[in-house]
Amino acid sequence: MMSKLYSPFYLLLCVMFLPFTAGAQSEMKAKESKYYTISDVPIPDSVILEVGGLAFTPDDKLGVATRHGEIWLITDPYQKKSKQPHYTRFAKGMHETLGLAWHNGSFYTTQRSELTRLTDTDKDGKADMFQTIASWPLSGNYHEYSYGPLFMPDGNMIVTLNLSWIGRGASLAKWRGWMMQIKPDGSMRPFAAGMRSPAGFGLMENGDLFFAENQGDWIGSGRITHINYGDFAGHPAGLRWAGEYGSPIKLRPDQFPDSIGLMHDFGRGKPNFKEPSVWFPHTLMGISTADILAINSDEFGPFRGQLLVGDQGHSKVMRAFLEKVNGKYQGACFPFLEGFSSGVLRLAWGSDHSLFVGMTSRGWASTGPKLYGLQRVSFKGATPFEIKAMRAQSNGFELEFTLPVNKQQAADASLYSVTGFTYSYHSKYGSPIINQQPCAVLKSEVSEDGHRVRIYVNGLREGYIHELNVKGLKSQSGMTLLHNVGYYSLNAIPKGSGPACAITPQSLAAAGNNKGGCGSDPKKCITTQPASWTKGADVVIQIGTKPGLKFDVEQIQVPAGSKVKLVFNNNDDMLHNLVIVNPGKGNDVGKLAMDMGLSGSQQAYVPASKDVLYNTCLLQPETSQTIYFTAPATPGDYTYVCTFPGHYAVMKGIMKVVGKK
Amino acid sequence: MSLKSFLLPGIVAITVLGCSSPAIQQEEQIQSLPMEAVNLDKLDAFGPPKGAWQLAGNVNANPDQPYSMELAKGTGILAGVIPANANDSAEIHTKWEHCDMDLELDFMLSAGATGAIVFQDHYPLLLKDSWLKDSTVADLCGGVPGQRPLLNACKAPGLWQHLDVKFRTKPAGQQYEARFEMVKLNGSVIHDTTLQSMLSGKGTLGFRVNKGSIAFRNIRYKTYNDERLKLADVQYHVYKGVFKNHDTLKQLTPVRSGRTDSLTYRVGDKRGHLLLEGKFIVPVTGNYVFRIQAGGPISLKIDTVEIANNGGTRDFQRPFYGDTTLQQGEHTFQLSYANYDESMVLMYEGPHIPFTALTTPASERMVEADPLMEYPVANEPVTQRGFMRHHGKVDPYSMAVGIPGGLNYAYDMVNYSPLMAWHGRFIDVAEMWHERGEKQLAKPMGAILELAGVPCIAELSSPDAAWPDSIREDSSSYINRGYRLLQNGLPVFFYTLHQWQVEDQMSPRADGKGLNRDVTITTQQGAKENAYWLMASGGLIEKLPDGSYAVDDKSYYIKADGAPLIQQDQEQYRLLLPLPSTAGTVKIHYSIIW
Repeated sequence: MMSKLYSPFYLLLCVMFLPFTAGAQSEMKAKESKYYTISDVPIPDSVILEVGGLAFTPDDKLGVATRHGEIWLITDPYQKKSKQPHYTRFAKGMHETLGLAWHNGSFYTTQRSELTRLTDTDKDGKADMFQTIASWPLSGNYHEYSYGPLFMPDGNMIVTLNLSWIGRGASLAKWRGWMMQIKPDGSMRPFAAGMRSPAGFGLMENGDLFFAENQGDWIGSGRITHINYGDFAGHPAGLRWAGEYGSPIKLRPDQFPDSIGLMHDFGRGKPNFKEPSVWFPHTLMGISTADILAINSDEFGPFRGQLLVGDQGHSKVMRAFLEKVNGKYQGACFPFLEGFSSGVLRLAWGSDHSLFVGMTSRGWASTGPKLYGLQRVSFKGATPFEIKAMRAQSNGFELEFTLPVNKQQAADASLYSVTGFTYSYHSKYGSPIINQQPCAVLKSEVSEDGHRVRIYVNGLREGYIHELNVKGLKSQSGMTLLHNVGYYSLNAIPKGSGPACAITPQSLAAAGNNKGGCGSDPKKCITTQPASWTKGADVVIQIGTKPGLKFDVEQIQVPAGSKVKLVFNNNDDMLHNLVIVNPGKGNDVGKLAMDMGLSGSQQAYVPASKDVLYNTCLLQPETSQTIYFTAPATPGDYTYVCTFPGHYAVMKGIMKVVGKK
Repeated sequence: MSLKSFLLPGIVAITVLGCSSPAIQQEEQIQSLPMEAVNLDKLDAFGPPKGAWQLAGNVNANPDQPYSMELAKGTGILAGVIPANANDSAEIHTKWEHCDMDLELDFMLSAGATGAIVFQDHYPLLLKDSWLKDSTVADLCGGVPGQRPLLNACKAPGLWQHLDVKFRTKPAGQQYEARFEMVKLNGSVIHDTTLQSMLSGKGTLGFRVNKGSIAFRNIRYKTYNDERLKLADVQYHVYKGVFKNHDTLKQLTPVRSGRTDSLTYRVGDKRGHLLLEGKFIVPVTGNYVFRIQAGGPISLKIDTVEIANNGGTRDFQRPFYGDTTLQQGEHTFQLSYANYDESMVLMYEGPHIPFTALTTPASERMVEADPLMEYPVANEPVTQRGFMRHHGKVDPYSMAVGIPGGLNYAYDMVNYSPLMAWHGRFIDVAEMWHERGEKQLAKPMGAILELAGVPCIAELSSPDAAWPDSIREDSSSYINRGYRLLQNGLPVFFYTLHQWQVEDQMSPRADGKGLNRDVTITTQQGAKENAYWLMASGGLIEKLPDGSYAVDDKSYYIKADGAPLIQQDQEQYRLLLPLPSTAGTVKIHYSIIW
């Protein structure tokens, strides 16, 4: 039994049997809908509600800031009085407002270059006073988005400033990549640094501040991080300004070689170097972490005190449980709700404890198919059977469930699998999962009341993320576990009285250099011209990318059986691949790729499927690869698609294989 | 000659050039061969005129006085004047004939004037006072037979207007097909191709006045013939890898080589380095300008000397230039390109040779233009912040304001100063709101009048002290700043500099001729320094006989109450209004008309 648990092959099987089967997305949404309803808030046709900010007014109207620089006011977004809420435009003409707050009779919003206060002084329902509270320089780079403001308990405001993008993150104007604090009188000072794309941030009930970061250069995967004055959160580009007057940061850009190793190791001994509090493993727990909102009541289910985290790319809302170990925040993230209609960017509580979800996907296609949207989530009242919390112990974890578990099942340690892994801290865009290793779950003990299960785990590593997978556990009342996976960022292992962990590092095959073949079957990815092609290729094809997750050529034609040389250029600022599949199988293969779990990033997100004919590797931004293959013998409309999780719905084309005449 | 020995003599030249590579000195680099200027000190360049033509040193035409133009003694301006009651036209032609030609000039119309610039004796480009006329109804300035201009870009009479014309012909049997390939009026494209028309051959350039008076100055041109540079003995060598330092190739062996008849990146490999070399056969001795644009490092050498280099950029839409004198005959060339982004364009201009591509069309990577996304103005003014181009750079703090009736302006929200104004339609926001909106540029849809955009109030020890050119974004000396919207939707900008509280508003003139500017300045207490309000700055500012001001070398008018000072600082002029230093409120009112 024990040896089976250590077997990498067994682990792989467990991973592949994650409870996502092809087409499971809508199945999971159907299951979740038993506990939470997601309904559309109707939007008039003429209103382009690309949500950048959400804030309620004291009279319970919902203010919405949009990417076109407008502020809309929605009366009765709860649809209590009428099916069609009433929309009025409060303000317009601003430059890409990506945040909204209400304070003392005015709206506050962050535009690209300033924090603006809007007031309706003549009470005609429209803003007539626009005060510039604070402003900052812009270089004119498109990536310089600015977000906020968030009002802190002390009355000051926080805004964050995106880095510029020049093929990599850079800080072309002062304070890009920083979090800034602005007092009501408009005086501004730098608050924290090391950010890349800090699109969302929010407060816990106790006033502690967390911000969400997005995968990119230096950022192996999305995550949320607790942030205090003077903290550095990981991306070195903004350190260009660390020497400026008022900067509390002492780090310098030259302290960061292109590849560092592990963030956890590098940060040790560096004052105020802030490790992520909870990692959201890329493609498993979203791809573009957006807003953070704390659950501060019991009216939205059994998760009071936890943080809701929205994801723009995967159109979902996840949750994070946090605890303090050695005085610092760490914790676990769990799936929560999926299937929103567009890219989730903003979250806000209604006065009835329903959750408003503001969305947009222009320029960054999301799983949710709509260009923009506003939806509302209500708790139906029944408690779902979920892993409520996961707490680190000196020799394992304590799992807390929302309902009492079936004690006999829960005591079976084989139901639980734990895998540790981490990301590389380097200047490249994103990181594959590295140093992945299974941990042995030796024993599990159920508490008297059935709510908690203590698992004893060997092989835990500090600074590593640990995936917990629970298979086949039911509640005492016979309910299936709604979501049975969670990811704990074990920055620190608590000291405790139990037996010390025996850390037995065993490395699986390294993530690989991707030399030649990538994907589940390297034979489908031939990167040098076959020796048998003495006269070279019959057909040479070039395919590149366009912004908005598209191939720049969406139809190609090859004769059946011809020798094809295909050059794929990834001109975009994200990771992409190109996978040729059997006719009509693009969506199926795309869904399989999303369900690959931890192995996905190591196999270029190309699933092992007979419908996959040929594929490239997963390419970094602004790189290209040539593959060689023989076109299928049977004519037909074959599909090529990018199977990076979340892209397959829009990033595709048709390869017409024509018969010889 | 082997590659190695070919390159060896070049090393010395490269080391010398390395200290001042063309890429670094692009600001001083000429981008085009100089145009020839028509001498306007005498009338010798012209044949016998018909009607009254004179040379002048300055001209004035009052927009309110039809047909009249006052000439001041001097040279440099050519003016054709038809007296008020006369029926004849006036015409004057150059002595020289032209085929293909580029022409640039400034012209000024009296109110109600009509005339033309006539190409090849036959082909008129209409000059007409169509200021403020409805684009859909009237004959517009810049029209050519059979084709209306794309928009009404005409400025007020008495202001200098700039015309940019590319006229091209093509032999067709015994005759020529002729067309206006491109015409820009006051910076806006009014024709980007025209219907073709048949002509009999060469002809002179003519200037015609049918009604009123028209003045011309700064007449510059380039004429072109059929001579072209040819390629010979072209070989290509493809290397594995891409290199910013082109000298690296000397140490490498190509993976393949061959002969080719055309210059294109496509004989090479993606992410491979391509070297093309061979001979230029230069048709005539003279100065040649070379233009390179590539996605990846590119270098052009002629006779082993580096002529142009793009500094390694991957921005394939950005051109770099180099020029050299070449004797007629054979010259060796080397074109080295590190293929990152599959775009490589080499063009040249020579004596009477227009910019011509040496690379094939397929060697240029085409970029899809965003479809037009007009932001229409309905019944109320609209404001829209975004990025806008100003003085050749991107101003990321712009607010565009569109007013019903076709008056528009842009305002800088850091300097609190007007950036530009234009008549006509508002802005195209495709580059802001299409897909990711990577450029974030709001583009005016009319001929742009550029304004200074510098801060409008300053404390100076004396009127001739230097004027600040910008305000810091992150620690502005302006406090309590922003704008409020009036009932009618127009913005009033406000800010405070020390004791000076400013409110600044632009509104449309009822007659549609331009914008009113109303400024209220309140001083809280006695000030230490004197402060001034900047009504305008730029080139020459003149006070006109009717009491108004012509600003920036007659680029626009200012009609003002009060007594502003004209301050001159070499070539820069400022129109300043001293502000009282005692506590109180002062109201400033003036109009800009263009």
